[in-house]
Amino acid sequence: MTEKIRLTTSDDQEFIVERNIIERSVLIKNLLNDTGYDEDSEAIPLPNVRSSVFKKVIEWAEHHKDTTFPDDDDEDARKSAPIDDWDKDFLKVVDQEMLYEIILAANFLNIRPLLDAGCKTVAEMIRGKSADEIRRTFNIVNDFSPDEEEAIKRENEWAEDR
Amino acid sequence: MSQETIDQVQYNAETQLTEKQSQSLALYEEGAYKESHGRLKDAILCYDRAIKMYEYVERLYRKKLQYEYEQSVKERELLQIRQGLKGVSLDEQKDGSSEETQEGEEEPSEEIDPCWLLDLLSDDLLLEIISILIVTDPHAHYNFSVSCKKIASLSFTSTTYRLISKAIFPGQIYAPSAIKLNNITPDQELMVKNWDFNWEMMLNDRPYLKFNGVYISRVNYISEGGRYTSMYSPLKLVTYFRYMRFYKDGTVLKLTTVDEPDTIVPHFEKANRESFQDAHISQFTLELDGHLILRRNDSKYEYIEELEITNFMKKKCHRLTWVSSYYQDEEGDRKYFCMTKEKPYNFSGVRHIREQDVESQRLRELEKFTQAWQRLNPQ
Repeated sequence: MTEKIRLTTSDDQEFIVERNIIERSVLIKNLLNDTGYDEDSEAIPLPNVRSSVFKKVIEWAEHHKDTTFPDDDDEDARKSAPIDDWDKDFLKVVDQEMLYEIILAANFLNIRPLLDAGCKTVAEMIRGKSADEIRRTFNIVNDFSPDEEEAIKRENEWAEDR
Repeated sequence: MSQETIDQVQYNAETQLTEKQSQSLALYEEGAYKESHGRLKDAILCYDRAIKMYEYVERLYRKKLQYEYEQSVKERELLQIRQGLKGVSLDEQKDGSSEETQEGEEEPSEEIDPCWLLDLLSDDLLLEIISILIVTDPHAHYNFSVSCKKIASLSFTSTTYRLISKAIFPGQIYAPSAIKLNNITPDQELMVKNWDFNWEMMLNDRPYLKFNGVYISRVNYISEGGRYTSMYSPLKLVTYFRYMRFYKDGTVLKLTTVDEPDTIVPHFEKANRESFQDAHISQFTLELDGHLILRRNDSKYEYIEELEITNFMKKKCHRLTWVSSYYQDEEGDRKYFCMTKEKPYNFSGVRHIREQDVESQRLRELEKFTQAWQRLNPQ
């Protein structure tokens, strides 16, 4: 039988997760290996992850429990690789706040493939939109004066043609 | 009396012109009328006299045109409003008030919508997203970078300059001699040593060719049409275009034509070469300092064009300026073409080329990713 790990989220909810699933998180994996966790140990606190977010992270980890992800040695290849279809659908249905909280949790727990999928989902939301449409999508306030905006456009223009 | 500068020249309903100014303006307008009727030489004489009378007359003329145009727009709008009002029924007041309340309701709701993206994500994570855009879609990176001050400041840092360098420089085609002489390698981590490990400096300093668009040179000159002895000496305005599109395989598609960019650019690719008269394909190589050499052979001669990549205002590597153009026979005898009338090429980004490039890159990555995935997760 696989070992079960107890964890508590920021809102004091306790979760019991199979070790091989939670070990998708490099943070927890290292912690378990370093401290020698056993059944009598106290639950591992996750002070900056809400229970609703953690549920989603576990759902993702359960789906990917048998997946082997490509090595992340080549940073550029990792960035340009497309999002896995299941991940795309998984992240498409959550609202923006939840999406960013999943990204934050993946970053904190050190789950590289989930972090990448989250960031790529945001990148997809930016693609194909004008600056104005981007502002509307994310509720970004345009803090440039019209002159500054003209100037920054001229300044950055070179970066799009290469 | 204080000296007037060109920026102080204004024109509106209250402008009081001096006698000289109004005479000069009248002469200039006469010139413009003549030019529009094809009498360029007469027009030039008028302009010349007008400018001698008042040096900023051109500015004044433009300000006047601008003022007149704005007035006409205002009048049109007024007319539309008047016409619109005729159609308004007795419910006028009710409509007005309902609009007001709608506006009143919308405003606060806009204010309370939070920007979760910037509120929640740290700079590191925003940078991660920006990096993905740089690698996958430069156009999206640009649009995102001008959305607000915070994202603008994160969009251009040493991390992003590094990624942009890696996206740009490995695709450049260098001459074998330049590769040997300057130890050029596709590994940019080694190349950046020559710029004290400063990626931004390397990007600013090191010329590169752009592949997502077309370089266009518009050549425009006036030629004397008649003989010197004749009383009547017509002028003709000659305009033609030179187009170049570079490919990452070291070839360049070239065309010289009188057709405007609108007609040429949408179809300007190697696959359509046959449909353009006199389109040529040359081989190109680049040197580290931005010297560009184009070569093409026919049965008799080798045609060689040398150009230089230069910046234009804030636009990096925007221009190709002419160095020389010549052909040589088998014995190596060179004959140079006269380049006095030629103008530099300016780069023009083309949306569909950019999109094609992004799409083909995506497909390549998808293929690579699928192969890696299948290797790791055989099912």
